[in-house]
Amino acid sequence: MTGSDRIGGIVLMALGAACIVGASRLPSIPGQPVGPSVFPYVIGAALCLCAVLILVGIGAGGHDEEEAVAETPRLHLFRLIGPPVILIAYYLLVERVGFLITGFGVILAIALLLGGRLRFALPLAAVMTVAVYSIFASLLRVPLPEGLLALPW
Amino acid sequence: MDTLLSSFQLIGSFEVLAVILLSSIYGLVIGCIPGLSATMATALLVPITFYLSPIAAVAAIISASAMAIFSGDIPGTLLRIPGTPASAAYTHEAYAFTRRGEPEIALGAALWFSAVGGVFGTFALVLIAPALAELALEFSSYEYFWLGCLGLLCATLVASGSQVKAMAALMIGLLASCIGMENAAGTPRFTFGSIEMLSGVDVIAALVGVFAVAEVMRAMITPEAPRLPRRKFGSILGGQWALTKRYKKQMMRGNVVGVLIGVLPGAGADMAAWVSYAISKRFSLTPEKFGTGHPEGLVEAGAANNASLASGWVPSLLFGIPGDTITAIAIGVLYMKGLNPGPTLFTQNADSMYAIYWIFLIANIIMIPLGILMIRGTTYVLQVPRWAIMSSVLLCCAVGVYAVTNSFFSILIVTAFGVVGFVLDRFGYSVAAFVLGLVMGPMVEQNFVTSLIKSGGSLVPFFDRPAAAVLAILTLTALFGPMLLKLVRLSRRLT
Repeated sequence: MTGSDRIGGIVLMALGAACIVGASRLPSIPGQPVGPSVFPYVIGAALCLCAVLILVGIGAGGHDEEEAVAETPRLHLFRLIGPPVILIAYYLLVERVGFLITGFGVILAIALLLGGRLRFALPLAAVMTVAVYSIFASLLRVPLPEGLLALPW
Repeated sequence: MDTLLSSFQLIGSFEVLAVILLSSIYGLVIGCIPGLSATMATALLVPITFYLSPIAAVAAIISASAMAIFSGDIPGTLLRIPGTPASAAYTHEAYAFTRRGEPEIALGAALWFSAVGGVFGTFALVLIAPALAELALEFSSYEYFWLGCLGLLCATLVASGSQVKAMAALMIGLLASCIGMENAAGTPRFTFGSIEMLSGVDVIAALVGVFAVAEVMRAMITPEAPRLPRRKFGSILGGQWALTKRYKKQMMRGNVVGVLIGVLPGAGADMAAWVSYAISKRFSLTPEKFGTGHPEGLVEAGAANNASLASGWVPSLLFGIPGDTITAIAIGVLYMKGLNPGPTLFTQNADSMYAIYWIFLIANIIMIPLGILMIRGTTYVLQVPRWAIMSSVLLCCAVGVYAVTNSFFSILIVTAFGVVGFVLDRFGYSVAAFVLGLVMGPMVEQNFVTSLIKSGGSLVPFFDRPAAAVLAILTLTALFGPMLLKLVRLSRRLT
């Protein structure tokens, strides 16, 4: 069993336990033989069972270990959390700053993280943001927020 | 006859034909780019289908996914990097042709037998689905409950890698489907006091996260594909007829295996290709030639992965149980468009059903000319650097889910599910099983609770209707069979 399987088993066990605790707090419905808690109970129990099986090594393995050592870990992690962090930043900013500026930022950030050169990434970000805005906001009438900057169309 | 005519009217509109052409080109390009799978092509298409007529929306998904599965063979053949997971089974074989200087044969076989497999799968869909629909009309919530369980279990049984992990992934998917108050009791569950969570996890947003955002994350830690040298191709379809005649049996076997695997919930084109390639090698007269640029396995597996696509729609259209990850997304679109899956789709919406058959046929036929153009244009498509593609994909995810759900909160759902999808895949937990749990959770629970309310809490009706009993036995065998088998083997080893 590998370290990742051990962590996986513990996480699943915690998730299963939390699920059972959460289910026990759900109210029962008078007159209904099965309330809203039955399904979560079953899921929680099954999660715990899977966790035990993985922890004792029956269900372990099945993933690529050698892939994990391709890069230095810190840079690895930094780039890996890039997409989710950028999406959360987009969520926080888009209504205030507007789509054109945040969209531009998303493309530029991912492009640079993936090793694109600034002199190519800048024009791509500009063109793509305007194109996406034109398709979704102007053509499909999706109410993308304008914020600080708006297109004439 | 009337339904046939009206189905022609449905697909004869300019909108539908233009959508088929455009989404075919889109599918070909996405499939050909390593790292962008057919499922991801479908997920990114959903926001656009939101604005199309129902038939055009389905047409977009069908043509884009069929093209992407074929197109994944192109970088597999030329660079030894499968464009989609469905091509991974025979990539080394196809690449052996390129090393020998004959990539045309492998590409031609991929194209020709993909189209043949797709057409065969379509006929299977036309024949199987209406017959099953008759049967399914008799089904009540008891049968649907067992069917749902069977579908979920299938996904864990056919998962590559650890079955326990697939089961765990399935449970996580089911747990995510519990969020919100869309249950029989109308009680908010696992919402943590958030108002946005009351309506539950939006399936489309979750799937875009699992298939697109996770892929962008994966790109962050994998090295970029090497550049493709420019190359002129000879005749692509030349010699394919000879191969068809020589490998008739293999082709048919690939078609049939593809159809069977497609019908199984959760098992899609990639599984069909792996199984078919293995069967081909096992029954070949010259198994030693496999891996050295031998067309036999290519013929069989190439046909199988495309055949599985159409038959994957059988359980999806009939029961709302996704046959693979692509139809898992398609089901969401069907509901969105008022084409709710179920046997009544075949009786009340027969013209739409015929239209869907026609679209499959058209998509698989225009695959040949468009595919030839794509093969010749591959060098240009693969020139586009990965940073440009992935950054655009991420922005499209963010905008696309907002367009579908009209809520910025769904961007957080996309993000969360992107991380979950990445982590599951990274550590060997089946993403397909997770998705199946997420999509089918409400259906299984709803039918379970409805059945128990109907029977007043008694479990007897779950077993005493003939169809329910058969399905129950199948489900229980699928659940305990593998365990019993393991125990028997273990006890034999001990004695």
